[in-house]
Amino acid sequence: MSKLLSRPSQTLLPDAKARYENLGFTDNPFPAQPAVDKDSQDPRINGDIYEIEIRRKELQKINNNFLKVPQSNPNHLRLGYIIDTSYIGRGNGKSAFLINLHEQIGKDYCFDISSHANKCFSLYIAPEPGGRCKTFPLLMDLIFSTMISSEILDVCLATIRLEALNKVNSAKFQEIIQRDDADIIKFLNNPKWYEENAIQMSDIVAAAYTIPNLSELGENFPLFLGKNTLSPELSTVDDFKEYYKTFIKKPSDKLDFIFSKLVYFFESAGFNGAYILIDNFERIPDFQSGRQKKDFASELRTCFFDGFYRNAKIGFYNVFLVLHAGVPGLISEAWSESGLDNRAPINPKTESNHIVLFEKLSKEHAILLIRKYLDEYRIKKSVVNKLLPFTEEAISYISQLSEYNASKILKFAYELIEKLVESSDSEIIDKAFVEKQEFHHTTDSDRGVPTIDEVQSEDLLKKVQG
Amino acid sequence: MPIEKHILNKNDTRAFLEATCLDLSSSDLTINTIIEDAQSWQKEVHCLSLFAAIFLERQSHEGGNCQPLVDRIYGLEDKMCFSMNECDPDFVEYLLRNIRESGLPMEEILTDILTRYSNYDRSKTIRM
Repeated sequence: MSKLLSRPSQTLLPDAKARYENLGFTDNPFPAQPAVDKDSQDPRINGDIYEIEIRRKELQKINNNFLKVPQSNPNHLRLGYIIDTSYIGRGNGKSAFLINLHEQIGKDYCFDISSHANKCFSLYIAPEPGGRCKTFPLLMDLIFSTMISSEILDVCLATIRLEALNKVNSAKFQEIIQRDDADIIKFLNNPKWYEENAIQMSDIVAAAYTIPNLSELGENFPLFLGKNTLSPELSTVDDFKEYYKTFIKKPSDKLDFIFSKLVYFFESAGFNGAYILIDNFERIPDFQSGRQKKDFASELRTCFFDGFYRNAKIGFYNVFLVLHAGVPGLISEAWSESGLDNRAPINPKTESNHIVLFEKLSKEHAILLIRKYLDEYRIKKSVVNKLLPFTEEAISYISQLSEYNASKILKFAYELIEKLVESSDSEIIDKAFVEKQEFHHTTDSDRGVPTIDEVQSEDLLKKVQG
Repeated sequence: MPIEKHILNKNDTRAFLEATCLDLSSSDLTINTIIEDAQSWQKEVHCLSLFAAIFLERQSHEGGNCQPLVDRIYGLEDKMCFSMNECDPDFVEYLLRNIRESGLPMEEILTDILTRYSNYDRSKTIRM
């Protein structure tokens, strides 16, 4: 018989179910490794699954004290701290909070929340571990590369060109503004579009040069590439990159470019502010000597508050530093020596508008967190008990064992769902079920951590004295 | 006349906290006398938070619930002449400014320093 017609004697199960289908989920709702990765496609770890209620108080404080305050107010806060108050370690949800804050600002550029007073963009900065960002100019490099990758420069180029187009050819302007924003940005930053629509690039560049603030930038600024030549080119973000790499060598030039020229450029594109959200800030001072910390704080003060840059004069950039519990102690001396402490004190014990304290989660928060993840992966959204297969008591117990740390709670919940899938004698995760699995939950002694009594002590004074 | 002070070493801390916070009777007569003296405010008992932490860690490994225990330890100050030394900056500064006998285990060095620190008379200190 032809092998084309042969059939196996065993047939595959017609009603085979997915691994988590019996529990009513499309996948395990919890992340196996709960560490936030903004660029991941997995919503469990990229910050997409986010329960806003958990951090409603913190968000409210940022909205009231920062986002809603007009940038034109000379006393608006320019430097804020988000400080973890718990020493239990990483995974308290600060990064997820920051990514969601970044998205909230980016959604409509703060327009609605500030009742049209502000138009601000946001940059999410995460310094790399390993000390590659330990000086202020190196942080500037990171901020500039984030501006490139966030496509804010594309938006600004298109906005400026749109305004120039209105002056040069109002019929075309009326035609193009009917399109959506993504199309406008794509067309106006593409030389072919100008060719196809018989618009002279030289006219656009000349018209752009008359926009207030832009003439302050000088003819070398990448936007005016070839302005005085017969056929000026359409400058792109790559030209900005090239300009930064080739012409800006000295740290002082770098600061002038970021804190003066780019500020004028953004202002011309209709923005009146920007938020720079620096996550894991400890990765900067961790690698700095005492003197480097002081220099860093001094430059922060010069560029954001008291210097001669356009930014220091108007407070265009607003910065949020996200600090772990021990970091204020690490930098407070440098902050006070540089005078930055007078501008934005860092003492977390004092209640201030610019300090947002990140408290440990509560049992209620843990329930909200678990429910949010379960909801996202539930096959039937109309389930009455939104916590199933967990019981409230079990969540309370899990939270207690996880020291109310969001990341540990999620990891524990992941393991429990895996256990439940494999278990034949239980359909819910109650306290008894958790207790049965508890031996898998790693403790200090499982990890071989010595007790306080066993730790070898070292006489540091003796060591220093030789 | 200043009240007499007693500094608990690691083993004394364990026996003292077992007797006062876990209600376990101690066969150690010295500890019982110290507790009685502290309860009648005739003696001031000083304990290092490090030794209390070691005690708590041991309780935790034995399956005990440490949260109420912490509350009871810190509640002792209301019941007797008891003081917990948290190794605060003043103590660390004192530790660094004073000569220590080298070669001794850390426990003994700390107990010795705490004895001197708690008996340190600040009433005639000249502040710079």
